[in-house]
This record gives sequence, C-alpha cells and structure tokens, in this order.
Amino acid sequence: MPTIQSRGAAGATAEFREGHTVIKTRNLEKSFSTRAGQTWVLRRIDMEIQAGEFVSIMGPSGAGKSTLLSILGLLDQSWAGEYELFGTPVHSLKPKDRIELNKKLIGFVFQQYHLLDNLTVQENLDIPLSYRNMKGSERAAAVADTLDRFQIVGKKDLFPNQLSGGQQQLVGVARALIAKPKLLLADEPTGNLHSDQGREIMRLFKQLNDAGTTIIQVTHSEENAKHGNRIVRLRDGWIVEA
Amino acid sequence: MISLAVRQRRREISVRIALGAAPRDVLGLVLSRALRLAAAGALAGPCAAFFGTRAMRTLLFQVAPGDPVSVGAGAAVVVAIALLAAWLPARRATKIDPITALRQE
Repeated sequence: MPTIQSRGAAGATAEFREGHTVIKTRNLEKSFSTRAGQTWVLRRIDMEIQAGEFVSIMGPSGAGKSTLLSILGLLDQSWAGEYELFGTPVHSLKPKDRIELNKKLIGFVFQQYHLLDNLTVQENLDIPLSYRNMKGSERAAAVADTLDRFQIVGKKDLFPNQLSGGQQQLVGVARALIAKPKLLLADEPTGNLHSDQGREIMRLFKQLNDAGTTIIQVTHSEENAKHGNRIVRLRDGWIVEA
Repeated sequence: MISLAVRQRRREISVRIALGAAPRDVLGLVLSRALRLAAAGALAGPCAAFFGTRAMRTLLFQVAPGDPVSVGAGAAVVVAIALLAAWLPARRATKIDPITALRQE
C-alpha cells in the first residue's frame, strides 16, 4: 500500500482549509410513498461537517446511511430540506447544476470498487477526467501522476480481474481522487476486503485526511470508524449521535 | 437490441454517472453505439445490394441496379431509423439512479 504524499491536490486549497463548513444540512428528509403510506428513510437530518474532518456514518442496516451519503454526494436528487455544500445551497440548484457541483467537489469510493471490467487501470482512472473538459495531454499527465502517487504504475495496463480486491479498491480510491475533489465520500470502502486489506485502505484514508482531504465514510466497523475523528450514528432515519 | 444493450450496460452507465457523466454524455454513449451498429449495416447493405440487384435486375422498374441515389437514401433511412429506435433507451439510460442501480449489482 502506498504512502500518499501531501500535495494539497486532494483537498486543502486556501478557500477550503480546516474550520470552513463543508456540509450543512437543515431538516433534510427523504421519504417515498407506498400503499401502506409514507415511508421515511431520513428524518430531520441536521448536521455540519467542517473542512479537514474525517467523519464516519454508522448505524444498523436500513438506518439510511447510504441514502444520506448519496444525497450528500449529489447523486440522489429527491429529498426535501436544506443542504449547503461549501456554502452553495444545493436545495435551490437545478439538477444540471448539481451535476456540475458534484464534478467539481466530490469523489466517490464504492464498496464493490465498481471499476469497469473492460478497461485497464489506466483507462479506469481516466473516466472521471473524460467528463471534465480537460485536454488529452492534461488528462494523460493527471493519470500518470496518479499512477505514480498511488504506486500502481506497474499495474496500469492490467484489467480489474487481474488485481486483488485490495488493489482494486486502491484503484477505486485513486479514481475518486484523480479529479482533485475537495470531499471524498466512501460507502463501506472496506466492506468487501480481507481485514488486512481493509486496514491498509483505512491507513490510506487517514493519510489523505492528514493531507487535507475531508472524508465521510459509511461503515459498520467500529475499528474503521476509529480512524476518523467523529462518528455520526443513524437509526431508523434519525441522527441519534452526532 | 439497443434496449438490451442498455440493460446489459446498466452498471457501466451507473458508474459513469456517479463519476460525473452528464445526461448528454450518457445519451452520446448509447447513441454512438447505435450509430456504429447502423453504420456497419449501412455499409454492409450496399455491398449485399451490389450482388443482389444483379439477380433482381428483371424486377426493377425505372431504377438502375446500383443507382447511387437509391443506395444512399436506403443507407440514410437505415441510420435514421436506428437512431430513432435508440433514442428511447438512450433517454431511459440518462434517468438511471446510479446508487440504486449499483446497490442492485
């Protein structure tokens, strides 16, 4: 597992240093209608997360953790309430503008890695950049830099099925960070990994956080949560500890 | 066929949306595939017609075998129909909720 050098690239620019509010929600709610009536997934979520924090969202299955992460990551559009991301009122943005904000600010790590099987490591890393109006030469440089930074240059031409789970997740983290997001969101990032590989990924997250990246992870693991500096607990859609 | 291709590529499309693909990117992804298939058909069609029309020469009325306008129009119609047929699945693909789709994988 690589030692990630602090370049400020993955997080702390002058305007987003520690102490600045990254996320602020007020009365954030999500529900859907069923024949039995309204089913609530999230209820009156009030939370604040500052730049430089490493927050773990915990709770039993069905508590609404992943849904909350999707909303915070601007991937879920159907919710009510107020949500400010780096001071931008997301609740008053059009879907198109939310996508732009997502591209500018957020990197996402998935439990099942979700690398594209028919693309090499190098090509997988290029995907987020291909949607960001960058010149080919800039993209190639960013991919080369990321391969180097995560010490996976030797794996650049391999396909995901030629990598171990830990290596795939390492590529998943590299892919999430290649576009230099200010906020890294991770949904059970070690859920599919052997415990040793999981610890390595957590160590990597800790390094990234120390280098300035604000991180929010969903986890079931108390051990993983200890790598962060705060735990938000959900139960039945309510925050029970913040 | 395109509808099936979209279903098969649901995970890929979801990952791309989660990584920043806008609806127009997803539309482009699906329509470009349809266009490639249609273009292959539009090229193969005239080749087959070149040989087929010789056998059908006696059945043609006021059209020469290999008439470039007829062949070109036929190819254009094939491409247009393919793109029209792909439009609906492509629009559906832009509406995929990436997190739900990826959770179902």
